[in-house]
Amino acid sequence: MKEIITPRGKVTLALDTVIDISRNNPLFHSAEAFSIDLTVPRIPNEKIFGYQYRIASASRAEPIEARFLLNGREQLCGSIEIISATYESYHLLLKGGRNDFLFRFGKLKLRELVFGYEDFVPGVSPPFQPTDAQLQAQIGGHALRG
Amino acid sequence: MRSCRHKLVATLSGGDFICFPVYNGDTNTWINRWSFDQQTFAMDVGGPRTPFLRIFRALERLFALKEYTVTENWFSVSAERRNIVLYNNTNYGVCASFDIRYLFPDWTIGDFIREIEDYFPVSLFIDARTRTVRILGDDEVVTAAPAGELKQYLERDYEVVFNEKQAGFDLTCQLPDSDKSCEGEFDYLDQAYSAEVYTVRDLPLNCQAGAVYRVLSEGAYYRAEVTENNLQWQLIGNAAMGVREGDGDITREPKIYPMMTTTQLQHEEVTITQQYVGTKRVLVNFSLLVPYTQKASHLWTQDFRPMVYRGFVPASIAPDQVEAGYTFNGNHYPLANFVNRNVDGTAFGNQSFELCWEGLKGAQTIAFLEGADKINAKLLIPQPDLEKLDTAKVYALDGRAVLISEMVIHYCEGCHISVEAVLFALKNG
Repeated sequence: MKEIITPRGKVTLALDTVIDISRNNPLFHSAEAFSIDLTVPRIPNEKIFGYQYRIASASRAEPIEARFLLNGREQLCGSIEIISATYESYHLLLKGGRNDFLFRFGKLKLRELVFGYEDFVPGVSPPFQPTDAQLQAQIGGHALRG
Repeated sequence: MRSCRHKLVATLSGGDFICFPVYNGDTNTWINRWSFDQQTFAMDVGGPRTPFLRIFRALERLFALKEYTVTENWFSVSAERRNIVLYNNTNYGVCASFDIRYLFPDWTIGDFIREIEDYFPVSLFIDARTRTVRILGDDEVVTAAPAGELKQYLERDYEVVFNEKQAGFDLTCQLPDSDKSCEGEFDYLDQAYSAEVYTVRDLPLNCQAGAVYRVLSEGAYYRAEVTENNLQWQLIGNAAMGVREGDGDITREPKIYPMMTTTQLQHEEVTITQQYVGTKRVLVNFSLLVPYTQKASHLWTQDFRPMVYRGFVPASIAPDQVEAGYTFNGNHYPLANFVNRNVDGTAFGNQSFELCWEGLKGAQTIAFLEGADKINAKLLIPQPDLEKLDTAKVYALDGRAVLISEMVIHYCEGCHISVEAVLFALKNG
């Protein structure tokens, strides 16, 4: 049994829904991503995707986290974007990346991560530790000059 | 200050980072300058001090932040690989402590992973279900013994045809123009050369104009140029960015490229001794092989450069630098470079690799790709078996070793799942 689970509930799929997903070997492919067009009935899914006339455009709709399960076992994680909505159905795009990690975190800047702090000369104060704003300004400035 | 020096030296044998001297040719300054007189980093001489992060720890910490565990790590399986570090040119004068995120440039996690996969002969196999990451050597993947047989999953009556030859590929590099040491006058592509010498000092004094020599200790190419009857050797390129020749075309604009190394003189007053006579203080020119950059701080860009820490090696002292009868023994310093050569041109006995970009993948993988048949297969696989199918493993099919390149999985009702697969099969014999 195919299921798509979101934090807002389980998506009701049409009976004839086909889900084809491609998986690539990272040895031969630098990026692994998939996107699947899905059309699902509107009425049972309205609590998840919202009232159809409020979805003015796909760009304004927030992606929703989604997990695809087959017979109760998770096959992949990704997100759902709402492309359009009609009276009968929602047109959705299920997107994901290499086993979810790059899809979820790939666009995060490394400097946004808190890697932790290492004291490599105990008891001596560092002469200068830039704030995030200073760091960003410095990197931005260099990039412009570069 | 003494504990500070001790801590810096101690980092050479363990910890997440290593310190070693780097010379900045643009500003004529040193980072982590080494003092032969004090046998430690010259903290009191001034100049920036910077720890360089080991790649294996950078990757482990990166994934740990997102609650993934690195279970196999190509960068940590030997002492030599654990000594691959990322030189960081974003120096904020870290002296007493550092926050690793300041060492990372303006990259995304995706950039970092892709560049690591492109520059080094590794691939990252990330499993969301077990939240584990395997960083595997490409060559080790393709040369592994088959882990299972695929024949049983072939659709009934489906014939596998081993006939479509995988095309080769060529590679070219575009280097950033924001770094002076990478400007266009340096030809990083395959360079024909007349001869090899060990160090810059071994370049001949008389030579035909235009001749190109490779200097082994630096991994660099020098061309003879004659102006007003004077022969001068001009640095024209770097073997580290050598590329392969072949069919096809792949162009990449790398973010990772190795720093060049250079033989640099360091002038320092040291104590020399003569047995039964005494000691005296003299100025000595030490010749060091060091990584070097030409970046002034206002030209720093956001890039990473890998180097390999090679251990304490002797610097070279010209015979006329130390008076006859006197000796100076403390001439070892912490060396890092990209090329597996000492300052005298000899290969390191216990070192196996150079940080030369070999064109996306390792030698075995390239041989596998160019010798492989590309085949299509239709498989019917029970769901539990499909979940166990591992793209990092070699399988057997009709007596051939195959790797799964791509799979299109048709999720349907029923106990078997239909899979269209593209396989690379190693040629027989």
